[in-house]
Amino acid sequence: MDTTETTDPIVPDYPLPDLLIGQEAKSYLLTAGKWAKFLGILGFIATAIIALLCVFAGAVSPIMGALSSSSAINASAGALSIVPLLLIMILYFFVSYFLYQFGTNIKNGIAVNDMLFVTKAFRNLKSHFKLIGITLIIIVVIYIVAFIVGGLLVGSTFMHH
Amino acid sequence: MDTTETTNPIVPDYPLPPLVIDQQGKYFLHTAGRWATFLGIFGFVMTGFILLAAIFVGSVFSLMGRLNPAMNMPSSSGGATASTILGAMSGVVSFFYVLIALFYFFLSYYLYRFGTGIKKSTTFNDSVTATKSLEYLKSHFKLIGITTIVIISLYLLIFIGAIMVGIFASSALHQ
Repeated sequence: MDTTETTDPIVPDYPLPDLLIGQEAKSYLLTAGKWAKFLGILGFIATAIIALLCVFAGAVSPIMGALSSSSAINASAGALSIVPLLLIMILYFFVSYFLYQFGTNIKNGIAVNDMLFVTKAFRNLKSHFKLIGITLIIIVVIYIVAFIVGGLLVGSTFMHH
Repeated sequence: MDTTETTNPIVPDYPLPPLVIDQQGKYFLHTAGRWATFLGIFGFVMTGFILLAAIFVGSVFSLMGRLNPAMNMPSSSGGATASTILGAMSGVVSFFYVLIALFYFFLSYYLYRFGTGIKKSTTFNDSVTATKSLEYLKSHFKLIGITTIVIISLYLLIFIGAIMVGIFASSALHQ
């Protein structure tokens, strides 16, 4: 089976064990890959800009801390303000990396009609969507928890007064 | 040769034969499809929220105009009252919200169609459905790409416009 597949890639007549991607689908994949690559590169640039912002915030916060009276509090607040930026930067990097990998691998895979490249591309596409999905789930959960905690706090203050 | 071509839509196109996606590739595609479907449904919900926000922005602005009597005074520059200006502004803001909602809707729609289609095609080895869903994947990335280009060029225009205004203002001050 494997040897016939490698030597002769012509479509068999019996029920197909594999999914076959024709010319039209290949052209769509190629276009999708081009846009994905473009978006990935833009994402890398955005990551670099966020990294610069992080460095800037990191450089500014100790100065702010030194200038103000309660230096310890301000310094820790400055450090804390970088954490969300860093998280966004890491998220952006990986989202863009998976997109870029999908784009380049799909381009190579279609150019040489190689299944290995295309499989790698699909793995990266999967990781891209999975990362966005998991991030969204986490954000929604945080929102719901904040909502509940906020409601409980408001409720408890009303109970005490 | 012709008969196989008509019965089977996957034409063994010479010089390039069709790409074969094996179990592993199908698994990755299937998982990508599941997440894409989820993201699509999430996007539909978000679209609903944005549309709600668009409606609320309009009513909040009109409420501001009604609650503040000073806004109904005719302004010095012309006959238009502040509340009518606010009303026009709320229209502009609502328009932008609807625009964002439209963008979100199509983004999610393409993702959803890709996800559901690719799940089906990987299960049944259906190349026709796979082709359609890959077209939706293409549309999804193309939409994001074009929107990003438009937004970046708008930013650049604003940047250049601001610099031009600054230059003109400074030259006017020096005269």
